[in-house]
Amino acid sequence: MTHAYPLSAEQKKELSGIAQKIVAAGKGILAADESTGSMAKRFQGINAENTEENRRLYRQLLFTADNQVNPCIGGVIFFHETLYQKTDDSKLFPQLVKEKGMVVGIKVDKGVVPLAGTNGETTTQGLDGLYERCAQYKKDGADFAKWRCVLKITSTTPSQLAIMENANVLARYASICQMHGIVPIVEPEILPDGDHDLQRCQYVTEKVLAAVYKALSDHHVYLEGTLLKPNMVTAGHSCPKKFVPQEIAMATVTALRRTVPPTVPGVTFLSGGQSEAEATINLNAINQCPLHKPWALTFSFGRALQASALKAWGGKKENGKACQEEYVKRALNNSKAALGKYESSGEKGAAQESLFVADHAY
Amino acid sequence: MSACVKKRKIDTECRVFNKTWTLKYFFTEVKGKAVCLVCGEQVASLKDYNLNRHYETKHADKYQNLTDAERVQTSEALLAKLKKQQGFFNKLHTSRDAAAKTSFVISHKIAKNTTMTHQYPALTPEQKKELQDIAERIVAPGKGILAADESTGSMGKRLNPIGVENTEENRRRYRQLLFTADQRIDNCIGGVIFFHETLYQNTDDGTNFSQLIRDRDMVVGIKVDKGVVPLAGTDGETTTQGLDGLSERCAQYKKDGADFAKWRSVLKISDTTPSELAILENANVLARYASICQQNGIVPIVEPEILPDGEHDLKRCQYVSEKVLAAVYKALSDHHVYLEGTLLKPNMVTPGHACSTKYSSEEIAMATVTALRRTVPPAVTGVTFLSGGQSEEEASMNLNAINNCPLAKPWALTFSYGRALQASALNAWRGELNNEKAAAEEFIKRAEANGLAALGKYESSGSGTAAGKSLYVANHAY
Repeated sequence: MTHAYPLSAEQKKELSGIAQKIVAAGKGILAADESTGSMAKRFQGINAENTEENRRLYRQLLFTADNQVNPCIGGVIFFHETLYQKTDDSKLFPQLVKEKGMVVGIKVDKGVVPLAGTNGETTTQGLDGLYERCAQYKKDGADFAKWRCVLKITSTTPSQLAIMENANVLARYASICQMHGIVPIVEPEILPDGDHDLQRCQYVTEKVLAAVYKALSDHHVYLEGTLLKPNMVTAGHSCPKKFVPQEIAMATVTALRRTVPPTVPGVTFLSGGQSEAEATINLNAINQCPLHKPWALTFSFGRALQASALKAWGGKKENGKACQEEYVKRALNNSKAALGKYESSGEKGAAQESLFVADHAY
Repeated sequence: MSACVKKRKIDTECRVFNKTWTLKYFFTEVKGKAVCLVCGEQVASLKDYNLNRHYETKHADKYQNLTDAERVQTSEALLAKLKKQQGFFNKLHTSRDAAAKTSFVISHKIAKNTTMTHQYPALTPEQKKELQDIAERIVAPGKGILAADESTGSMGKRLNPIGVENTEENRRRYRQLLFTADQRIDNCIGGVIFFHETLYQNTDDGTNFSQLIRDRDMVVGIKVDKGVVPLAGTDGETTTQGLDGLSERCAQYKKDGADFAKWRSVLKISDTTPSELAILENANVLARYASICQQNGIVPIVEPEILPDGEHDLKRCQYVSEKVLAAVYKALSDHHVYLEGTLLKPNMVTPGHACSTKYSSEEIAMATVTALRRTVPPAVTGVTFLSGGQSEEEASMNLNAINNCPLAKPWALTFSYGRALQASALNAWRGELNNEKAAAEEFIKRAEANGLAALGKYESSGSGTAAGKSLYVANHAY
């Protein structure tokens, strides 16, 4: 059982090349993979109808944004429908995105399903036929994929089963992707719901990530050809205690340092429920954290890149330019944050450094 | 002794009102007496039994079905009523305080009904800091470890070939010449691993060895495992024993000057090994050992040695190393071990001794660093390689190549050598008093060479480092 049957050297080279391209310095990911159901929620908020055409128009706005966004976006995650949609002048979206130097990604999971016998916990389905789907997606231009697992913190969760099962399904997905030259983004999201504090989230995150990397090892996944998409370590939404970005950064980086092997090329954080500004400021603090960080630390944001853009658009054609401007603004800010160079109005960088407490307390 | 024992008086025994009685039995303290909040009756003695009896016989039926929150509110309300009656002008508890108290009661209950995702910090911040500082001192730049922890049996194997009798005195004399080597080793040796016997031996002029090492600013370590034992049902595989009473032993060793410990587990590569069980069991026992050490302020060096015996090639060793290390770090996580306060002592990734293919130092370095990068979290302070069966020169050159490997390496990469620091010294000594200086020189030479190798600055005679760099093949092949 301790004999290796690895990917070929060429396969490995291709995978690590793709991963590094996505998280090149100053670049992150635009998560534009909202399912039809999720888009309904987004459109409802701006009183736009959730039609296929509206979804196409909206994504088109993002993908045709001004070229100054190109150095900020290493990859775009698509939803299945979007992968086959076209611009007004009939260019396929993946084609357009590639021409701008961005890597095309595809969401491949099929949503969460309940785990019987647990306190409302879930696993994620989508493994059936994944082998064939990946082969097709690769032909259709996708070079990376995304699969989201969800865990939550309460007094009884996450349970051993939830951690183990989700880690295992993520590893199976990753293994299948790599067989087709697709870089798997591994997303073990721990929801921010609850009143737990920062330390609790850090502790749970460390346990979850340790399980994820053990599963990836057991499934012979080539780590250099993967990316991690975790939550930042934050207190629960209803936690009465507030924490500053430096505390969030310290807790996050410490948790990652204790669990993520250095060969993983990049960590692309999800924004969860954070506002656009919060997400950027926290990412910036993470990149300024004085602990040694051997992986790229960047963004894979959905709402945190699109909230203002969606609002500016409101479903109206004449607002297209305003929508794009909002998106470009957020993209530029997050690109700077990924380099630790973001300065929000009113906050000096120097003042923040002193807020990093030595990590013995984490 | 008086035949007459004085009768116990309550007020001489300083009984104190226990705050838990307020919630349990609805009592409060008024001028040193216990007053029932429900009926106002006074109970003479501040004893749990008495208050319990009062509550149980008079009020329990009314209040026993309350939730914790309701108990808190009830006691607050009763207290308020009492104070009003007595005309006290204490501030009434606000409902916010009641809510806070309730949440404490509830969260205490939750903490008691433990689930696995609650943190019961194994270590305080002070303990963590101490452990991390010790680890960092041991692997400070250019420094490594002298593994002088050969058991009595192992020392026999070292002394026999040079014609020296394996007596306690000879072992003492030999270790003395290493520990009293001149100040040149102060810059290259961060720590020394002792065998139990040696920790309590002295120099000729009566200085305790452990004290001597500490006075030289090196950290004292102690081997704590008790050797390998067979794993039934496997193909000759083993686990390591030594956990019994380990906590007490660690506490004592800490008092006797030790700040780090070492525990060696052994795995071997063959067609059928290492098995799942061997990997799992050795990882687990290493994690238990590490956990116990840390509780006693001792930095655990975790040593999962994969023997170089066999004819497997470099790739096979790398693959097995990766699987073993992944299991080790999962076990350390499961056992809540503080990684910043540990060191790893792995084998370098090399082909088996009987492998027909030869590999360069750069290939060994690439395979080793790649394996570590895939498994060792950056939080680990340092990696101190064992030398296994390597010659002194091999071990230095390989360590040097490892430190020159172009891949990013977030941990210190240094040595924890036994034979690779002592082979020539032993040979030069041969037990003779007259040879002590020459023997010490040999040891110093290797110590300095390895100190340089730990910085990637070692130049062995006959090979320039420039030629070396080009031999590093990109790591996609690994």
